[in-house]
Amino acid sequence: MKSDLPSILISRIRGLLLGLGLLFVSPLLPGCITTRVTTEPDCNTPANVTYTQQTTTAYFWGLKQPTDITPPCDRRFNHLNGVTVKSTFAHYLLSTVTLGVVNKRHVRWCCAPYVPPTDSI
Amino acid sequence: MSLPNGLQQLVVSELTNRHENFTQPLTPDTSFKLTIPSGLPDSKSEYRQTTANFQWLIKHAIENNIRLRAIGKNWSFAKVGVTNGGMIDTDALMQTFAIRNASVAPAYLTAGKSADNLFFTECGTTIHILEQLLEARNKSIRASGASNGQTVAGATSTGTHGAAFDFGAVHDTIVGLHIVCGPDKHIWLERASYPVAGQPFIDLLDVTEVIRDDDLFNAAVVSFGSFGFIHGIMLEIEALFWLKSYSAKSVPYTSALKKAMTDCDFSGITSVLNLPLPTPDAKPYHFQLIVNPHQFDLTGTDPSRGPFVRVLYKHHTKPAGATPPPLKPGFTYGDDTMGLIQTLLDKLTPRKLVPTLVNTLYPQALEDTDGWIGTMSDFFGNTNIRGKASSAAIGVDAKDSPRVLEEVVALNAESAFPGIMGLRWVKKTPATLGFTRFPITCVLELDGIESELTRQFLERTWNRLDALGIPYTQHWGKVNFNLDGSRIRRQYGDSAVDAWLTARNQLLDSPTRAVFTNDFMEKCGLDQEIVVDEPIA
Repeated sequence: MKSDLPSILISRIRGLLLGLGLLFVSPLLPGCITTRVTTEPDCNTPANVTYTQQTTTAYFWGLKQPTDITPPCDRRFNHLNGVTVKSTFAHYLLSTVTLGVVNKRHVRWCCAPYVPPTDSI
Repeated sequence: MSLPNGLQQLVVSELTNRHENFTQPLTPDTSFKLTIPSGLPDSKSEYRQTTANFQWLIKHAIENNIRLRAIGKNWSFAKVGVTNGGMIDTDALMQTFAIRNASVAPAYLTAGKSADNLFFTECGTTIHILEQLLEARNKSIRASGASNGQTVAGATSTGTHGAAFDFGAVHDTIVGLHIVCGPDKHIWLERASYPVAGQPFIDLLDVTEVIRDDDLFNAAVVSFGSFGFIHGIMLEIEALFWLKSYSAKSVPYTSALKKAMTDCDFSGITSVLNLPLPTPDAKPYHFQLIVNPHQFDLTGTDPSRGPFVRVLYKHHTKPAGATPPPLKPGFTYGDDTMGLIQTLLDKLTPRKLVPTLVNTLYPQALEDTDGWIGTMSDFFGNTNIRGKASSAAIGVDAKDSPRVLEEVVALNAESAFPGIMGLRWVKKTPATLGFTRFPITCVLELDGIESELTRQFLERTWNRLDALGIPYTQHWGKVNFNLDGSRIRRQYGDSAVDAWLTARNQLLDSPTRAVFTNDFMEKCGLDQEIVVDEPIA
């Protein structure tokens, strides 16, 4: 009887390679969950600027939380228009590898613009 | 470093545009944010302090040999509005002023106009907020882009065009500019042929100079931030109006539709769209096609393979039974979806899958807008495009639009474009480098996935039009990586380019020009020194 061993072996090697490939590639994948809270579309900053974002870290299964973010919104209005929290696969991987000791998230905010009342000239 | 009231330094070393097409490196410690100054007695003082802050920035840049550029909402797909020096975030500058008759040029009133038709705004006000402020006053802007998230200065500076075929683009709604064009110079600029500002208004701005000159104004109004900092903009507005939509998801590509495309004559498609006869109160304002090039029947025999067609009628009184467009659906694709598709297209090159991909996504690009009634902000609201997207736009004479469409569809048959097309019609602008420069310009947009496949298709499209000798222009704020000095001179003509350069040289002295020059301008030959007889003091 002809043995299927070589084909089974090749199949398993392929599966292993695929698994390893996925393992190495997956951290490179971009974010997989983005939660966004918005009110109005307007912000007082351009899109995609780094000074309205921060990476926060919690340690020891949440026992040590990151400090609260205080966005420098104009104090005359001091409202947020949006907050985006993003978790990437790398964040999950880090959390898994450290058994939950280190948890990271990207946070981006958008200050509502201070729109003074229309004056007249 | 001690900074004046209303100015703060930013910690930023690079800038990625909204659609993630590029990342612009910035010189550290050279970027600033302007806010409305605090603690001053009135809004006029706040405005004047901001002008002084702009002047401080120019002086600082000259002394430290750095380039600066104000940024709006960072929407541009091209590097036209950024520099490797500092980014000046002007988005918080949202002061607005209604105009009284006493502040208006007498000639404006003599012509039968009213100060009610004017509205003065700082550069950072978004189109969206302008619409809110104006609608509350029973007024309306006259044109906007397809969405309303840009700042007014950003929209005008890059030639945002909308689709007002009988009126024009966003910059065509502007009748005066307050420009800070030197450390000791800020001007009020308006057309000599259309003055709007009276002396009280000029006194309030406390400008160093008033210039009434059509050529200078027409050059400055589309200048992508290179004529100095545009601090304030005088818009001409009108009484609040409403738009009513007549649309069909597929209209056969027949001679009747081609006549609409070449002449904005809708008589041949009246029945298919159920268009009413124009009246003094209601007439066509906007015309748009959306085309899926992978499902397009050029013979016009397959009624299911035509373009989506929409005509908006402008109503001066609110139509009965008006209901605003419904809210957009709750689900949208993820921020990284486009980037993932880009990776697939670039790395795996599944080119045969492109038509299937586009055909699957195409229905999501269409909204069943037939019968909707709403204001400008209802129809041209915030965009929901997320992540890596590509959009290029070419302007062609409406007379050439069917031929250009057919050429692009033929190119797509040779190698598939991972995207769809939109066509909109816009009246000619007087702006010197406004890309809507044909009597009626058909703006053909190629919207798709940011990918090498898309870039190759765009380049083939531009090259094909060049080879066929079909005149065209390119949107300054959209993908236009092939632009250079010779193409720009071919598109606009030597006299227009020279007039624009002359105007810039007249308004800015050499050290200030250096501050407001960027790589894009150098690539396009728009940084050139032109010898002018006598600089404006």
